[in-house]
Amino acid sequence: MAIDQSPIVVVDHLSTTFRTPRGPLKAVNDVSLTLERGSSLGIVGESGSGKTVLSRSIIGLLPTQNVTQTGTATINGSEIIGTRHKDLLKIWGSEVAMVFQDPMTALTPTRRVGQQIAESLRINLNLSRKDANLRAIELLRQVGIPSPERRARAYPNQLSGGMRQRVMIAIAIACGPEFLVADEPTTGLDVTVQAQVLDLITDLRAKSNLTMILVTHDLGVVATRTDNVAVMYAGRIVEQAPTAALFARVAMPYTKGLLDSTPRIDAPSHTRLSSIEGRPPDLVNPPEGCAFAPRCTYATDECRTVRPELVRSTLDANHLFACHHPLNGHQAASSLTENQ
Amino acid sequence: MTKPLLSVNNLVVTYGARKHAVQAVAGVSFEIFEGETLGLVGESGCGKSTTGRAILQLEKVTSGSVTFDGEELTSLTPGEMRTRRRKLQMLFQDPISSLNPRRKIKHIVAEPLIIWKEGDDESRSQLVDQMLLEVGIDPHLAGDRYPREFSGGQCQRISIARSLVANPRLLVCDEMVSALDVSVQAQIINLLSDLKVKHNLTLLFIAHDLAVVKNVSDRVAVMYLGRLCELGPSDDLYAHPLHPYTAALLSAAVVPDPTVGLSHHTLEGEPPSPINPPSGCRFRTRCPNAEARCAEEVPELREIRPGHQVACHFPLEAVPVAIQS
Repeated sequence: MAIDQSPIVVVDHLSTTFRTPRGPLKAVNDVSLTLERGSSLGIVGESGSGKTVLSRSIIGLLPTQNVTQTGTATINGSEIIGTRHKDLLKIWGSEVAMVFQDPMTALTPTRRVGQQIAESLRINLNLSRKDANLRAIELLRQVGIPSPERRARAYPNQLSGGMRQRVMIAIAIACGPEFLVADEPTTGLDVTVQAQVLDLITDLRAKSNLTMILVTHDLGVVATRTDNVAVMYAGRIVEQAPTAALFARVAMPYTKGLLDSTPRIDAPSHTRLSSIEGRPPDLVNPPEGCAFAPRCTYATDECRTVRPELVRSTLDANHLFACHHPLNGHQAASSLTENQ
Repeated sequence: MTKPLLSVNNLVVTYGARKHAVQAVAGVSFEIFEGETLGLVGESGCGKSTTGRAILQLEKVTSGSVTFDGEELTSLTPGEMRTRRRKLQMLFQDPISSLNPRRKIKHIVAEPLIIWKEGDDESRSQLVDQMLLEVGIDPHLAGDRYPREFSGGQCQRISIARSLVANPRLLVCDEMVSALDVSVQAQIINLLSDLKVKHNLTLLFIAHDLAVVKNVSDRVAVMYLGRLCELGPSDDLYAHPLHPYTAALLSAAVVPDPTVGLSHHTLEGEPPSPINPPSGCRFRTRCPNAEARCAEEVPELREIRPGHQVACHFPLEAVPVAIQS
C-alpha cells in the first residue's frame, strides 16, 4: 500500500440537530476537524457536551428520524453525511469500527462471542464459517484473552467487564479498519483493567497504524493516550491542540476549569478543588454569545453577546480556541473560516 | 481525633449458604476516629460497599463486631438499631434513584424529622429550609419541586441535606460522586468537606477513584477481595505504598498531565472469584513478588510505620515508587 498523506477524516462545518418536543436541539454545532492517518484525537467534555453525538455523526451511526445534519464528514474521501444506511454498511467494519462504552449491551446476549466476531468476518471478508471461526479465535488471542478456544464459546454474561471490552475490540478490529472510534471504552472498568484495555488499544494502533477518536470524560486518559485533544462544550469545540501543548498552556477558561476541578493523585490530600459553578446551558435555548459565559469568571459583555469563533493562537498555529479572553498569553491569530 | 467513634473488628459478611457461600467481606478490622474521614478504596467486587452497608447493619453480619460510640451494633434488635440509625447515615451513588420520585423536595428532606417526631411543622420546615440553603439549594424555588426536575449534582445535594437533617455523627458515603461530571464532582466534594467541619461529622468515604479518595480522606484503607491490604495516612500511603496491590493501583491511575507519562507496572489478569479465593494471601495470584509463604500463611495487618499498616509478608518498604520522582 502506498503511503497516503491525505487526512483520513475530514469534518467540515458539521451540525447535528435533534427534533425534540421542546424544539430543535443542536447537539453538534458547526464542528470542523481533520484527522491525519495514524493519529489519535481525544474528544473530552462533560455529559451532554455533544462528544458522543459528534463521534457518531462522523461515522454515520445516528438514527435518520428526527435528526437533521448539515455540513460534511468524509472518511477516506467518501461522504458520510446523508449517505444511505445500505451504503454505510460497506464502510462499517471494513473501514471504520466503533468500540462502545457498555460492552454488555453492545454484544448480543444470546450468541456466543466467537460467533459475534465471526459474523462480521463472514459478511465483510466473505470467509467460510470454518475460516471465520478460526480467525475469531486468533483475534481473541490477539486481544489478550486467555484460552481463546474456550472463550469463543462463552456467552457475554459469562465474561467479566474487561473481557467483554476485549471482545468488543476484537470485533472492531476484525476486518482491519483504518479508523476506530472508541466511545468511553474504559468507563465503568476498574483502574487496573482500564490500564490493560488502553494498553491493548495502544498496541493495536501501533501495529496497524490505526487512526482513532477516543471519546472520554477523563482528562487523565486523554493526557496519556492521545496525540491531539478537542474539548467540547455545548456542542462546539472550544479548544483543540496537540495534547502536550494543550496541557502545558491552556487557552480556554473552561478547559482550565475542568483541569482544576479534577482531583489528582499527585496532589496532597485535602487540596481544595476549584469547581465550575452552575451547569451547562440548555441546548434547546442556547445563550447568545459564548455558551460558557454564564459560568465563566472572565466573562464580559462581549462574551455574553458575541459568540467567539474557533481561532488559531499566535503562540502555536496548532492550538485553536474559541474565547474572547484566552489565558496564558494566547492571542487570536486569525479566524479559521477566513483561512479556508 | 482521640477516641474511635467506630471500630470494626474482624467483620465477616457471607452471602448465600453452604456450598454457594461467598465471603464478600472476610475479616476486616479498622477504626474511625471522631472527626476523621477514612477512605475505603478497591476495585469492583472487593467488598467495600458491603463493608459500608454492614456497618449500618443493612447487611447481615456473619461474624465480627461493629462498635459505634461504645455500643455493639451487631447484637441490637432491628427495633433498637432503628433508633441508632439516625446517628449513622448513608449516601448512595445514584442520587436520583435514592430520592422518592413522587415526593416534593421539602418532604423528602423533612422525612427523617417526621419519623423521629422532632419539633412541630413550623420548626421542621425552618430546619429543612436552613439545611437546603446549606447545601446550596434555594428552598423557596426548589421545595415544592420533584426530584426529576433536578440534575444529578443537585439531587446529591438534596440527599446530603436529607442525611444531615437528623444530625448524624457518622456518614457512610458509598461512591457518592462517581456518577457526576468532574466540575459537579468538585462542587460536591467541596460542599462535603465544608459540612463535615461545620457539623463535626465523621466520614467513611467508599469509592473506586483513587484521586477522589486521596482528596477527601485523612486515612485510606485499600481493600482486595474481601480483605484489607493496607491502611495508612493518605499522603504517606499514596507516596510510599507498602502493599504491592496498592502500588499497582497507583501506577494504573492516570494523571491529567502528559508529562507524567505512563507507568509500566500494570497488573496482569483480573481479581479471582471470591467464591473460591486463593489460599494464604488473596493477592498472591497476581502479585509480582509472591513466594511460597504467601500461599500458606494469611498475612495479617501489622504496623510498619507509625499509623501505617500493611497485610503483606514482603512489604515494599525499600522500593522507591514512580509517583515520587
